[in-house]
Amino acid sequence: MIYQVENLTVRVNDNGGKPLVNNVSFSIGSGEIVALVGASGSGKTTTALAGLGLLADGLIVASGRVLFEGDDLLKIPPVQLRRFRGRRIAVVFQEPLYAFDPLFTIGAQIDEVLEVHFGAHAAERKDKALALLKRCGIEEAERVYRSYPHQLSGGLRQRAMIAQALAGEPKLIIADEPTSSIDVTLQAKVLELFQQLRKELNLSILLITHDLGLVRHLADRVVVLRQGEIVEQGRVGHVLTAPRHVYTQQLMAAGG
Amino acid sequence: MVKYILKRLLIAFPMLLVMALLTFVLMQKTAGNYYDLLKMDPRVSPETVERYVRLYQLDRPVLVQFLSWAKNLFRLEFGYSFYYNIPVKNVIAGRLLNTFILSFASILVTWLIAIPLGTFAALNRNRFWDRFIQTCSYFALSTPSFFLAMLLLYLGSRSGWIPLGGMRSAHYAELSLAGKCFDLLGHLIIPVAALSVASIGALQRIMRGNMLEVLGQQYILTARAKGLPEHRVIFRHALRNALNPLVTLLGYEFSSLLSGAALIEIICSWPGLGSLMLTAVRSKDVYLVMASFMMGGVLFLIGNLLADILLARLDPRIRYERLS
Amino acid sequence: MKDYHKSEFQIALGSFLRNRAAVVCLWVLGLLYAGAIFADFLAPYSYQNEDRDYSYCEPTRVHVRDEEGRWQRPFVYGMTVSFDQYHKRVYQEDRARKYPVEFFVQGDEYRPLGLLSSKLRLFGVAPEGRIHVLGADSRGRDLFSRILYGGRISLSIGLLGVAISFSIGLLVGGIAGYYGGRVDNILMRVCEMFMMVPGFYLLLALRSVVPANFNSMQVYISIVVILSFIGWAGLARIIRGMCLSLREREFVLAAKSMGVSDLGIIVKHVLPHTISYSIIAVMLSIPGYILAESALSLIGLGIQDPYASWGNLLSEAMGILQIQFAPWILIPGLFILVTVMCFNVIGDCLRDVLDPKIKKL
Repeated sequence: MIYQVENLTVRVNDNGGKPLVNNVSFSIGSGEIVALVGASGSGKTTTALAGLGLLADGLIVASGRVLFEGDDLLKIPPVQLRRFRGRRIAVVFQEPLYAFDPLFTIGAQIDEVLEVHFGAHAAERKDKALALLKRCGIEEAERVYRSYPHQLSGGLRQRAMIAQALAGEPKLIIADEPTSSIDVTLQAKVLELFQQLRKELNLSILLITHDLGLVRHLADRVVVLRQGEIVEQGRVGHVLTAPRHVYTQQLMAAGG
Repeated sequence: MVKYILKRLLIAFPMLLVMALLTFVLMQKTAGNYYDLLKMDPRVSPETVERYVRLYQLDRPVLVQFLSWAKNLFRLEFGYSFYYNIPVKNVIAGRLLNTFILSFASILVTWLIAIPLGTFAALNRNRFWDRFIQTCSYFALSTPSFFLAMLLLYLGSRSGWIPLGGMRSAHYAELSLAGKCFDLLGHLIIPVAALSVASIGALQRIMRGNMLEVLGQQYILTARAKGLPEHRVIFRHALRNALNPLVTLLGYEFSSLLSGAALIEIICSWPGLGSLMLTAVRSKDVYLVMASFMMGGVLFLIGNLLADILLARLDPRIRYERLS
Repeated sequence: MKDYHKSEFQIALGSFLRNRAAVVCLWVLGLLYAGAIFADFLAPYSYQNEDRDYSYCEPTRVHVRDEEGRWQRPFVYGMTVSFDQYHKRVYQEDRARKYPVEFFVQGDEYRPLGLLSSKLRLFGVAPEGRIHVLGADSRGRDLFSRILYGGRISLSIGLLGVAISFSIGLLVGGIAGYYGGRVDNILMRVCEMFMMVPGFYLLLALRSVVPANFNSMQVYISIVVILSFIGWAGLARIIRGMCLSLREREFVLAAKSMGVSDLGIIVKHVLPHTISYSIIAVMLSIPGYILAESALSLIGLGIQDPYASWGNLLSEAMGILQIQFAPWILIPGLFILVTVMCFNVIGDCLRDVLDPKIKKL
């Protein structure tokens, strides 16, 4: 297991009320794709980002551990935690148009990762970045490299975001709703891409989504969250064909 | 881009001319005929009078006079100053530079203080220093600049350190180059302070607001998730995005500064365009008034245009159309 | 529909009143305006009452103990002036002349509402003495009295100027926003043109055009007109923006389908919704007018002597000498500052209260 969440509880800072994430535990193995599903507001993103110290202002981890390759991320001081971000665990965000800095080119933003984590020179960086873009199925890598985020289509942007995540050569990728902002035909492409990457790089993926179809095609195991608590988890085959909890059944009926 | 600039000029210039016409006509009607005044003035030689009669059609009806004045504008001939007894353009040139120095210094000071202040406030949101800065800004915003100038002059007169009023000390000519620079800076202190305080308060608030908004954006979260060091997240990504919309303000600030500076110039006896305009108005020196007015208007226009151009250049979303 | 408006208004009013700063500012403004309205009664002297023996006299000290230290009713001493070696005025209290401070005295005559005649003033001293609460100006006129009278002009010009600008802006903005298209385009170009001219220069230029032989009332009106001439464009743009967004709303379409005339729609349906933003815009522009009048009067192009406005009271402070030795001359500036600040605070609070969509950061 390279990623283990144990009894994670996250609350709003001075609020004594219900925690956002309550006693959540699950794990991800090497090369495994685990899906975190639930309705909006069920705590999926909060659970995923807690380990990296990327929680929003006012949220704190009340208890629990998040182990990555043996280290408890929650105990690591922020300055060292930075070395995990992007380099060992990378995040692919939901809306690439807003997740990219509008004032910099795609190339510059991928180069940044290479520079910060590998100290590569300018030429090296560009070559590597182009290779990454090609790897993600972008043929006109040169053009995309030089473009600004708003100039690209949704599909290209999403794949560029994945390329950026791969730049640090992470072991684990957290993908937050990777297909919700692109249309159906392109979704299949992104799906394929993830499967390829898993196979070629032995990449682990924490897939956050409310799209059960995606889960069925991509994930190995699934964790079902409801209002911050796990209601069910297990192999995709089992859970989705024979859901034991009412909520899971409802989710499936809603057509996820 | 060029088309855009031309379009703007096309709107603004006629307006300036219309305003000028209004002022010109009304002034002539109320101040008395410029031609008569010129003829009666013993300091002006008959040849000069003749020359101006020809140049400005002074013996023709008012509207014709205005047209010839407007025509001469393009040849950079601004007419003759009744009050100073020399051609207007000789009077204006020096004053223009002085106003420019004052405005430029004021903008520099404002931005150099307000941007870091606003950033600092945003990064320490709602903590003590932030609250303190916001309260001070509020006072600063509401302080009338002319009152502040007077207050500073009063305090300056009590302490005796700062030069009060004017642009140069009496012994300016004897100073070394460095001495001259220091002298100029010393004389700039009070007027620049009076002009900047309110702007700093306003700009700081805007910067803080922009910064806070930017810090809540997705791309900042992405930057952190990429493992970028915090200083890079703040200064490379957040700051640049927060500053972008402010750039338009730069141009507008230059423009509005011209107006505001005029009053301060008068109070601090700074020999600039504003104080020139006041003298001209008081003495009903028609061509001087017209020229100052046009000059002020043109600079104002340039400031606005500059702002628009800067925005278009610095924001790639405006600069480049969608490719795909 | 009407009830909905009412409770919305009451909610807003409630929030507003809970903001301490805003309420304090309302009170302050109330006091200032009351001071201006009742200046005749509150001021010990009329604005013209001068006494050269008290030129640049410092604020009069009110004593409650006499020379032997016994408690007495408040009184002031007469002042005698002498010149020191720098030819600077020095005032000294003349212990021989004591004048008790009386309340509800008979002072300079005035005509409230122009009809009756009265001499009743809140406080004062016997005519042989002078009481200058905030000092005296170059002609020995009481600054406190002149500040109160000055408030009449400074505070009213703001309101009048804004009222006129706002009316023009409302009309132009409403028409532009409602009709859209070419009408909107043309009107907005005109607005832009007005906004493109530098304010102060225009102010000076227009002022230079006012004939020299205008009497004070005419000068006052000209100034108000000039200020409105410069200020309407900004308000028009704001109104137009609001009207544009309201135009497509259902109730407008409904009214149209019922055959209400265009102007009727503009006046009865579109404009009332713009009220909250209008109030905010108005509140925040009043300071501009007050400052503009002060600026004009400061340089001698506004309200002239003997009439007082806070701006022309400050004009005495233009000389370094005066500021140094008679700093109380600067006090009218404080009044301007406080007034401007109050309007700003109230405007800001109104904005927070009436427009929850603006993120509070």
